[in-house]
Amino acid sequence: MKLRVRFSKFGPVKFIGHLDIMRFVQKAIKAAKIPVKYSEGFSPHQILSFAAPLGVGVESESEYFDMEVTSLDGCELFKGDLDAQMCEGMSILGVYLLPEKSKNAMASVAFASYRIVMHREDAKEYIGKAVETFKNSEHVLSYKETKSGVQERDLKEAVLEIGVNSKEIYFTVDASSGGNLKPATLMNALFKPFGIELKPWDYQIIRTEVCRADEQGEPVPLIYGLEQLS
Amino acid sequence: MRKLALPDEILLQIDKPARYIGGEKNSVMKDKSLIDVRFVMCFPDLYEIGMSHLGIQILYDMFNSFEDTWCERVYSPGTDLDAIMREREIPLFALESQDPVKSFDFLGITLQYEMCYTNILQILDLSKIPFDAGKRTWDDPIVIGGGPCSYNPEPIAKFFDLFYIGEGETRYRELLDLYKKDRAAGVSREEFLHHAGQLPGIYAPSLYNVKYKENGLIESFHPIFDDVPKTVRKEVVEDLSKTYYPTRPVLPFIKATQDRLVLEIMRGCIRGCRFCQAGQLYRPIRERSLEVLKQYAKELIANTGHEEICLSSLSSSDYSHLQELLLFLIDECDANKINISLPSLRIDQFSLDVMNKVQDVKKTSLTFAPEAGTQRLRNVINKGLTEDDILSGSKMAFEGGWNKVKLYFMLGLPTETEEDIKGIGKLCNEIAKVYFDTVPKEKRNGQKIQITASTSFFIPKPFTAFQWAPMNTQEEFREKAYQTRCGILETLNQRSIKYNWHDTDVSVLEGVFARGDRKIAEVIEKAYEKGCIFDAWNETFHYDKWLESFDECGLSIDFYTTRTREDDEVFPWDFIDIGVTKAFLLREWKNALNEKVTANCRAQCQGCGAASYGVGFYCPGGK
Repeated sequence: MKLRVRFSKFGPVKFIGHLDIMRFVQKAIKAAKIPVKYSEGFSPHQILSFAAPLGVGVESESEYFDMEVTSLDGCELFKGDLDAQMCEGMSILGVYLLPEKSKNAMASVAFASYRIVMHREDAKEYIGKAVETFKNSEHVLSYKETKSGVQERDLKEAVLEIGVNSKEIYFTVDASSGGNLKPATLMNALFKPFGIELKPWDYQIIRTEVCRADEQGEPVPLIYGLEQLS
Repeated sequence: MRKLALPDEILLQIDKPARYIGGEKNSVMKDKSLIDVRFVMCFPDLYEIGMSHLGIQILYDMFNSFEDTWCERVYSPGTDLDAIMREREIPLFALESQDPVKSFDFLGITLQYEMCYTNILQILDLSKIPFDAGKRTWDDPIVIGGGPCSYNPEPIAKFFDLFYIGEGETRYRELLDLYKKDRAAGVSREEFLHHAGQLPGIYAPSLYNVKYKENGLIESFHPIFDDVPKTVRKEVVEDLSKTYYPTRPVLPFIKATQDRLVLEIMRGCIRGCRFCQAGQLYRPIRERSLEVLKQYAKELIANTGHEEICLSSLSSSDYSHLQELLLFLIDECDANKINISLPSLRIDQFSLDVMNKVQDVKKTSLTFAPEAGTQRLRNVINKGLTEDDILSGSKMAFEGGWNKVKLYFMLGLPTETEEDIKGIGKLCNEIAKVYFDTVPKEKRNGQKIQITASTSFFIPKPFTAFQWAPMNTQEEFREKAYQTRCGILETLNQRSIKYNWHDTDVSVLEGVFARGDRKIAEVIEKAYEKGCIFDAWNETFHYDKWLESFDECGLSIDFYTTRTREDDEVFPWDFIDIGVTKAFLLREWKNALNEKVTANCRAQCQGCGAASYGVGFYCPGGK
């Protein structure tokens, strides 16, 4: 049986990288005595799949991992049991039943939504203009240096939705394995026309949702349509 | 949510920001307004190293079990953060509260190895605490040292207000109570130190005066007050089954060097190897009861979700219930999908069976520590392991499918000859021969025997039979490493033998610090000012700066390392009483020179003096 677990990550733990969070979660699952399934072999490991790695420094309202369990007995307590093993800043938000044939969390990810809290004073006044300019442009090109030369990308194609809400920029972007758009890339492009070069610490990125695509190709949260167990 | 001492801007630009944020699971937060004593415990090396240390976890657990005390942690900032903190004048902070170290009542520094001494100065410097203990005021915490290097605290005595000599579980409560009482009474810092120096196990360097002879040796060492004891006696936990144990250890987010649960099964060692300091310091031998260990193991597993557990002691094979404990752990760990990381066990059928159950034979190797290449030299160092033990153990293991053997040796042991050095290669060759004789070609599955011989350089340590012994010069060390290599290359099976050795510079300094006196403090300070820090790390070790510092202080390295000490020399550490007597150690030094073996504690009491504690497992009159 497969379960999908939703959790949040705020505060100092945002500096803990993806691999370390995975190790932390593995220990939490073990300490919570969740009947997680282990691989065979000399050093058995838990069968887990994390949705989309969260960058160092980024906070999140909605992260996901999938785990396989050997039994659903007591599954109404899984959320509480796991949450009791979390540290400051991490909370388990829900445990959901995943149909057997579903793709795992990582393979399902197609989009991610973010909101941005701007810290830098001189950038704050341009928030509205930056988003407007982006919306009104036909193309917004971004360049990335790779091994095979400079790669050009039209960010307009990777951004599904963008807007401003109570002084925060929010957007939903491509997060698929082939086309993941880093929020920082978009932020740089938004403010470049105003001569503002943003540093990663000038603003706080908060991921608000990780999504798959529904039948129409529209973003829906990874737990959309799943039965919540606890 | 806690506010961090470092802004995002810094944390996003340094290596492993997780080292500096605290907030790990099982780390302890308390309400400052309800706390009388704030203690910050420091391991003066990187977070990953410090977090692997059991001793701090024990004391962290103990201090935080006191309702009036909050114990936090601090480690050495990496060189990247170090530079930023200096440039921006950010004071060093504790992980839990993120408050400046300087604002604490106590700064405890564990002294696990000599090469961390400049890091102590880094900690004080970044905390803005004066190096010289005499220049501190009540605005500074009481700086207290402990751990193995505090058994010769003299080279760093100047930097410390107090040292705790012995096992930390016994006297800290009294020290904190005294502190609370004295602070409430408004006494001076000097007066408090004077009171503290009268507590058992507590050494206050400022209360003692050293006089040197013209030749640099100590003429006298005595307290400057009549009410301060002449000797400081090591503190010892009487019953290891009835004391603190961290069954809820702090879980680091980033991988610690030793990323596993630790079950400390006993303290002390029956073996009496003459080079080994730990073997004397932690006497008398005390065991934890099997029942208590089983309980701890269960709690540790339940409280952490860790994937690996290991046993800790100086010689786990000598634990009297080892078989029962291991069988219990194998069951418990199998049920919980946990790996057991075995300590180096004496190779016999039982240990091979256990290894077979918990390890992948193809990946793991057998470990032997003969320490010396010939039986003669092994008698000198009183290492009980014989060539027959090694060869028959290897044979058994080869039959069980192993084909990797690791051997540890020391170069520069007292009385060492060319024959002893050649003996290293010969012994390795014999092991290879046993493999080829034991495992027929068709059973080798294309595998080869792999023998790895590693040598370290012998450094005489205080409180050992070899504390009188001269250390080799660097040239001798290098020549011996070369001879070892040649010796191995001369053997028939040299292709199966790999040889590892390390450079000698660090060993020389370690030799100075190990048996140094108070004069060395100036050298350490000078070297630190020249930029020496993280001396235990190759990439940050600058031997030339150390040599300059010795020169500028007018001190000779050879005086501390290669000099032969007279039987009646007064050592800088003589004022410490560890139970084991100087007379016993001298007897052992003579036995060593006569190549005479001394039986272990279980076989026969040798009257080392540790029985005076009345609690030794094998001591006459012990519990």
